Amino acid sequence: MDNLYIDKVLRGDTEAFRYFLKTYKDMGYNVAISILNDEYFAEEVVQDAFMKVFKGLKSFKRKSKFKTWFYRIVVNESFQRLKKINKERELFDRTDTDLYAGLANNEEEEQGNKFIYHAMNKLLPNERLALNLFYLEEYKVSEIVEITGWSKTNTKVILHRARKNLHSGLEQSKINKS
Amino acid sequence: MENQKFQDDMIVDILKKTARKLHSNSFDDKVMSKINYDLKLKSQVSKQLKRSLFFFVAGTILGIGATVFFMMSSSAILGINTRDFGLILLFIICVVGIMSFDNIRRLINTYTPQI
Repeated sequence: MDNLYIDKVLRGDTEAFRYFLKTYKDMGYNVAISILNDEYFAEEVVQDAFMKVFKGLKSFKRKSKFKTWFYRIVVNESFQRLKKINKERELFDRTDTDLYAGLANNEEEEQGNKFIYHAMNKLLPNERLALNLFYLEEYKVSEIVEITGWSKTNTKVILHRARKNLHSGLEQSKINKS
Repeated sequence: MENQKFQDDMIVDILKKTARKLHSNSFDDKVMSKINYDLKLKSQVSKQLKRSLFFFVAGTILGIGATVFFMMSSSAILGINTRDFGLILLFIICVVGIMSFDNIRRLINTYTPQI
């Protein structure tokens, strides 16, 4: 399906690009927000990523899936933006935002899930990204390597550390709650 | 083994609970308008680039021709030795050429996707 729309866009049908926006914007946003911890920046990064996809569609060799290629662009863009944000934070002493604030549908759910959000917030950007790609998007380690550019060993280490930190974060939150 | 599966399921559950969706309804339109603007700009830049390249090549040929002519000529122009005149001309051509080349480089960079 992706290839069909790639061909359409390459033939000059710009509107066909809406298919990619509809299909991948939420997934891309989820990846970007797991790295950036900021809704506004994540949206900007996804927009930039789509622009890069459009400009670079000609050079897409189709050796990997479109989704993998797109994720790689989102991940690169997000880490580049994160560097800039961290520099600004050092300069202006901006405090971290609570990524998962207001995510629950109601107050009861928010109270129940608060410790989960807190534990997720405590993870490092690369740990959140690894968990997202491995568990939510169901990517294999080798595919995560392709998307992130990390080595296979490093990816495994990050995944292991992410699981461990998530569990200890959950435990800590439960202790604090009780 | 079962414990590991339970833990994995729990992580998936947590990630599903914390997964975010884009709330902006105008996201698609924003990107599409950026793309359309980009395409429009690209055609304008390509015109500029062609013109810029033409002037660069024509200027270089003319400049080199004029310099060679002045260097080879033995008579003085406005009291200045033609060889000196040629050197001054060569210097001006170099400066203008570098500026023109930099302009072309910038135009190309603007429209080269960096992935």
